[in-house]
Amino acid sequence: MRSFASAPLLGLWFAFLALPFAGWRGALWTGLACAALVAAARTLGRVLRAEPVARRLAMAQEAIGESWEFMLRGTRDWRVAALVLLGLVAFPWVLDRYKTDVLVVAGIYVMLSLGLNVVVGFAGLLDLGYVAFYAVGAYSYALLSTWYGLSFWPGLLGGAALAAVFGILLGIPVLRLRGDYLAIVTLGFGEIIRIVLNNWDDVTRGPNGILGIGRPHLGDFRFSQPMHFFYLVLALCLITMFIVGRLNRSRIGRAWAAMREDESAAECMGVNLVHAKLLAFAFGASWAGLGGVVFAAKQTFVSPESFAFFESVIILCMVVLGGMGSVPGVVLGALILVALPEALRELTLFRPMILGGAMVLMMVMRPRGFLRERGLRLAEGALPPGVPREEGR
Amino acid sequence: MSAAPLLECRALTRRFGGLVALDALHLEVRPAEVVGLIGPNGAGKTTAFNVVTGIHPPTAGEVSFEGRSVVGLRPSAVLQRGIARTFQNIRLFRGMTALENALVGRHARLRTGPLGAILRSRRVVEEERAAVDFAMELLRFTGIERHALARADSLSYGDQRRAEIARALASEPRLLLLDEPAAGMNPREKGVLNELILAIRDRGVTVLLIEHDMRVVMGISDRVVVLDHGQKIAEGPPDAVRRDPRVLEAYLGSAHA
Amino acid sequence: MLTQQLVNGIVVGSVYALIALGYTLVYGILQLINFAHGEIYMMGAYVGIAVLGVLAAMGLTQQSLALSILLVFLVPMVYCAAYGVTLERVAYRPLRQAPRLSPLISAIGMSIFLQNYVQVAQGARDKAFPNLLSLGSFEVMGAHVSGLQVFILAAALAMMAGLQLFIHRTRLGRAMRATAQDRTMAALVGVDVNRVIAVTFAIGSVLAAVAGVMVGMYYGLVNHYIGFVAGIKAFTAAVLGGIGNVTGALVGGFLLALLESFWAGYVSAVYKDVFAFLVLVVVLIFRPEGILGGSTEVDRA
Ligand SMILES: Nc1ncnc2c1ncn2[C@@H]1O[C@H](COP(=O)(O)OP(=O)(O)OP(=O)(O)O)[C@@H](O)[C@H]1O
Ligand SMILES: [Mg+2]
Repeated sequence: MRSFASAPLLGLWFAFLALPFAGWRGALWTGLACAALVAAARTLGRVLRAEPVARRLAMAQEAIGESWEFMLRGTRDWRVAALVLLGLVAFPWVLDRYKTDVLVVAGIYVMLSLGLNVVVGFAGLLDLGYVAFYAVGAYSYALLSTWYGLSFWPGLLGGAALAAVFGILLGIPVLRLRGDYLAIVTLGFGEIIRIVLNNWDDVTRGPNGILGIGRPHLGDFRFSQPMHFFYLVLALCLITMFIVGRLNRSRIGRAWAAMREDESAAECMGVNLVHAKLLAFAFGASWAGLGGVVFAAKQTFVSPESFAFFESVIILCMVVLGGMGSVPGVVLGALILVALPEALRELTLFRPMILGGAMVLMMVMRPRGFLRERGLRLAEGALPPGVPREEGR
Repeated sequence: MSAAPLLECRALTRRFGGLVALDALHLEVRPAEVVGLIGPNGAGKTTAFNVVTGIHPPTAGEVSFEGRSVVGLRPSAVLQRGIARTFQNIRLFRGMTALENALVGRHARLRTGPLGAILRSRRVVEEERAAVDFAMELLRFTGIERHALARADSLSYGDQRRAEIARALASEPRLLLLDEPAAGMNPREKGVLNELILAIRDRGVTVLLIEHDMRVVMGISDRVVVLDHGQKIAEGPPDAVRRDPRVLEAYLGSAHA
Repeated sequence: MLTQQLVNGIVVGSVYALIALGYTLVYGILQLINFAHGEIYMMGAYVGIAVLGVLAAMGLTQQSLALSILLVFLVPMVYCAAYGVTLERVAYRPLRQAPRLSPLISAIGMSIFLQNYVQVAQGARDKAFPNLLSLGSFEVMGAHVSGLQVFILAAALAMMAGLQLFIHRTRLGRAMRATAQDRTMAALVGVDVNRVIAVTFAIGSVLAAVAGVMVGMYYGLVNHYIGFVAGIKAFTAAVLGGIGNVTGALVGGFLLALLESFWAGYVSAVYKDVFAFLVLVVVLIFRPEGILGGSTEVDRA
């Protein structure tokens, strides 16, 4: 970025580029905004890079990282964990119905993005049609529930399993090929699922969607309030975090990370790529399926609209912005991306544009996300005491 | 010297388009040997490793290890059989620590599956602990124990080469293929490396070594094989090979080309 | 019916082929799927509309048809070249040494950004592409062929011929081929790799611009979403022909469009877009190197 031309020239250039789309006036504004932004970013960059500031910044970053880790380690203490849990459990009592409902949606996204994180963040495979598996889960429960009256809990398993099967079927053709092909095949698959849902009227009722999907119940207790779903989703999120975290800190997680870093070196070190890829893919898909079933049960209604390509992009964004590979980072990313549009309603129109731009910026400036993954991929306590701490960086 | 060969390549050929990188190569490595594989740039040495480890399928010919063919196996299956390697252009998992790198090398000898990883039974924890102990022992053996928790890409060049060796040894191979392990090392480091390779052999691991540094190869090899244009042009004890006119010609000839 | 499908297929095929060339050229040099390429094509169509608007306002469309047609193609070509080069500079060049996932994510982000920028700036509704050429039509063996279709095919063929000449006859073209073969080697022998990459993006984008304007003329309607589907299909065409292979992109483009046209005519029009995907998957399973591709890339250890 440093060899870029000067700010006014850049402004002129982008004004020129924007001209056919934004008209004279729009182009002028675009140019000015670009020039101002570039100049501001430059100055900021210079200030931040100046010796004393840079040192302090690095220290602050280190400190934030440390305290974050401290907090995480804290939650391993059962007393702290209990306190946090208590706080979470109290949410619906403090918030109104609407906000609780938003939290339920956020929770579903947390599950989805943790699942996608296994594929993209852990295993390094780009899946651009993630929402298709979400749709598979949602529709399979919708159909089983409305046709056969299948109840929620078996539906949960069924949806996840079916989605996993789709994941494996889709993964097989691209196993031998570079990861980019997976991206395009999943992208295509996402479109197909949407087209099929829209057109297979006899089964999916097309764009009208499916109504009257059964809600979950536990014995005689029926889930009906947002609060009930909040607890359901909260439990599922915690379980997901637990499972994903443990997978990461194991032989499996190390194999994924090795594959992500250097696929063929990993294979030479004994990692069976077929198993590792299919496992990541099936796991990611089944979690999307799980999320889909919960979504269908919460809405009692599904239609193809909910499964547009843009949903896949949003979920990918949660993973990328939060920090690929880092479980707390991804959770944070999901929460922020659900909360932001709630807070900034005026920006709805610009949201996709901002997300797209943010993905590019993130890759160029901070490819590891806000919270870089930390810690060893090892079962806690497997490390003998007395191993010298990391030196240097 | 009379033992059955551990690794045996028969008429091994590999083409890349029109280029014959390996031309009917015969190669034998017997247990507990250190064999040096030398030859000018582009002679096909690395290609031989790639074919043996299953990265490139051979165009023709046979590779057998401990009497059984390994042709057609995936690289992971070849490693499972007991052949491990390092890379000429270091290919550590850069974002992972040295310890994690070694643990990935151990992957094939561990059993934990996804369910085990999630439930983390006592057996799984025991396995992890043993794996860490083993990996730490190897980091100590290769002399980089104090960098165990440093990111691989923050290690010095020589340490990265050693980390690659530790990672390869973690799979408890019976044959270790080293691709120019001394490249980029200073003389002192090379001396240490010599000791290390002999110590590896003393652990009962047979070593096939590609190396340009003649002092390293000639100093520790029991036998040297010389490749040029994919063909074996000489073979024998280091002293004999050093005096072989064909070898001199291959090296000088290629230097003039 | 059969010849009609054939004619439709050929026209659509020339569009696919032009876009596929952009994918193939970039992939050949950077081994990167430029996901935003479809958006460049879409933006080409929009720039065409803008040009026509200006021309009509100046009354030029009545005065000189030839000049108008020239400008309707030329201005989008220039603009798209600029978009392509800027895209590479902003979203890909900083990531050339990054892990391979990063440029892919950056590419998809750019695609989303551009698509939605156009939506914000131009509105979500379809835009009419003013009718410029009314060339009449004629019958060939029971098929209805419009002059516009002939014009599109001719323009596409001319672009492809120009590309071939460029690649094989010019210094830059040779530098491009050298870079595609081995980037480090090319840099060693004095090729300015950055410039070659920029030129590659410019050329791919120029071809996409032509495709965009042609599609606008052909269907008379354009929206910000057309780049997405066209992008997937053109990529499929490139893979079908053998990605990285210029002739392959042409063959793949025409072949895919013909197959698709028959599929839509005889099997199912609703699932027309599904078909291209099936083709992609089948090719990836049975012949990932494509029809004209040589060996699949082998990993250098
Ligand atoms: N994947 C590949 N695709 C095409 N050609 C290859 C490939 N790998 C190796 N070659 C060619 O095969 C020949 C032998 O290469 P190889 O890497 O085996 O040589 P080497 O003996 O290891 O040389 P060096 O001492 O430089 O490492 C070279 O001409 C090389 O260009
Ligand atoms: Mg070599």
